[in-house]
Amino acid sequence: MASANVIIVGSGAAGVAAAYALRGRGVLLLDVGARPPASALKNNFYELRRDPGPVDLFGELIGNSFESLHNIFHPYLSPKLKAPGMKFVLEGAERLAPLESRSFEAAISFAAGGLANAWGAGLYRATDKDLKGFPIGARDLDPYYDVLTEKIGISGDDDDLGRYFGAARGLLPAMKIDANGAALLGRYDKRRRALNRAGLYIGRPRLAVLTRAHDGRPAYGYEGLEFFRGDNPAIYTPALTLKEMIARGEIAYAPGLLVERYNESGDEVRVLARESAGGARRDFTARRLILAAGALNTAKIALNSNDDCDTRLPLLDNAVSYIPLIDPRRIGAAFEKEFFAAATLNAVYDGPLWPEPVQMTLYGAAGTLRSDFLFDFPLAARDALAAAKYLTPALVIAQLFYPDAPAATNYLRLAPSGKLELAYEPKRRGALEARLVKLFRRLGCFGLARFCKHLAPGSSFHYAGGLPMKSAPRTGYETDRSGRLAGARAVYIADAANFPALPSKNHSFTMMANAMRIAAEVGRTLP
Amino acid sequence: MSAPQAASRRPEERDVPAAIAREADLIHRILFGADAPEALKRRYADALKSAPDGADALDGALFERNGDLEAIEFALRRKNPSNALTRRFRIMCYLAEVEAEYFAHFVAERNQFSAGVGALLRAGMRAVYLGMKGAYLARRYGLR
Repeated sequence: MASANVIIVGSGAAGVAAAYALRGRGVLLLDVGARPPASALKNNFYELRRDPGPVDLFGELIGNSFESLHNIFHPYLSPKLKAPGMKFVLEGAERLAPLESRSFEAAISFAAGGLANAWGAGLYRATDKDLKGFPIGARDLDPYYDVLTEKIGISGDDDDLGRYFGAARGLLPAMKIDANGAALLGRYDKRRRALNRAGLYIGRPRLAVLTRAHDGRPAYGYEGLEFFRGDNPAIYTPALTLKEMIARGEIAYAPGLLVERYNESGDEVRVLARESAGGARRDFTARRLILAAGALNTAKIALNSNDDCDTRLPLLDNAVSYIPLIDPRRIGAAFEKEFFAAATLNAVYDGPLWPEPVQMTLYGAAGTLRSDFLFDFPLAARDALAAAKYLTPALVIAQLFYPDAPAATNYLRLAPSGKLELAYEPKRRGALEARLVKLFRRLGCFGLARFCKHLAPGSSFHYAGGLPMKSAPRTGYETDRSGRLAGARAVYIADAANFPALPSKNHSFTMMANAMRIAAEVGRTLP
Repeated sequence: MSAPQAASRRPEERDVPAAIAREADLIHRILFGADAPEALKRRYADALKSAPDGADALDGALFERNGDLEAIEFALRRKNPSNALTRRFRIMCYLAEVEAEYFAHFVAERNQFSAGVGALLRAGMRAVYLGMKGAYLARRYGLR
């Protein structure tokens, strides 16, 4: 039986951040750890398609098992997760973490680096307002945000969104924006005062994308291939730091293992795992255990460890809406060779229609295949093809994330079958989208509220809440502010399972900073 | 010196069932104005074979009739966006889009504002006409 000072379960954003805080202190990281395939995609998305040279474009963009056709026959999966080169992110999930869910479309990753392999790279500091309901404030996280900002290399600006995104310390210069973004920002500058009065603020995103060489990694080359390859070293993912810590011998890494449960006895925590391929049992012991297996899996491990098929734990998710907008001046514009396929701009709605600020990401559709959306146009097939060609350069998509708080209808539970049962009541949406359509009209971008898409619960991949942090935990499924599970001596929760609420703002950076904070507290308890 | 590898690895040379080949040709002609190249037909057949509901979820007679397939697809899509016929159109689009020869069908390589506005206006008018025609044909053929 292998033993360690600290066992960390999971190598996603939280697990890697916790390991980074404790590197060199006897950390063993247990993980299933699927790896990305080597990508042959180089150069630029459009140059490649015009002249692929030796690149097997069908294999890379559609996939030899027709992976990119997924949404034709199956429930919707984001274009990024269905791309053949990104298949590894969700590989094995149905087998390793079966779900019982009628209304919640969960994505679970067992890849090395977790769901963050497919993230949009937006990293935002939480403000005290975002942390309402948490037993910690922004000041508790600030030192860890600073360390992570330096390690990751985050590009961004201190503009109108600074008041929502927190301190701009240590940011790299902002990325170049595409023609759509530049036009929108230019018009926003002219109408700023009126739009701010109406509650709309627009600015540059903060992205884990290098605008200059940093920490041995190159600057981003604006290849626009983000939807098809997950291994661009200019775009940070936790998998990079994981690889680095393993190579330097700062942590021990045991892949191919699915952790199922733990039990505490005396001064030890015993961790029970199975080999993800053969199913053979493997046991480990440690002084401290940090669970960071992803909010859903971490909650499942806690329930499983207590043989508890009765308790319902809170389930939080950012409801997602898409508002498609057209900038008519950009109809028929020539494609841009150099662009970033994810966020062009961010916007925040902070007005009377919603009690808390609602954050949006604005992006174009240039980085995906037109076939992903051309049949969404209410036009006959040949015309839809023409519309995709001429309208795509003019398309701006606003993606809204709604904040979430616990509700009795939204829960997870361990079913007697061993599956995780998820229940979630979809939120009513539409009023805010209709208001935003009107506000964006003032910026020369036109849309119709009836074309907005409201995705099914679970589509955000931002899950949280099963084992929430409380100032005074009341049950064995709540944690104290140090992340320690109430009733446990040495078991800590480091991922978003410990979030008592989910702000609208992308939670990845806060989850990482909080995981570092908890790991630092764990470090202080070690002999 | 070895010859450079083909841009997209071509599917193995073999015969495509006649019904599938005809279907591929019809769809390809609607979208791109010509019959489908053989390699694309083979890939289309493979994609249908790999689909969970296979190739037989659609009444093959639909392709034998002389109705306006584009209008029928449009009418069916308005009722059910994932009907079997629309799925086939979507498959053809995906397969064509990653071939360099089709690049200009999907991407504006130079500024074409007037052409774009013209195409969109035409598309709007055709949508009204084909929507009505498709609804009539779908009713006549008993399609849902």
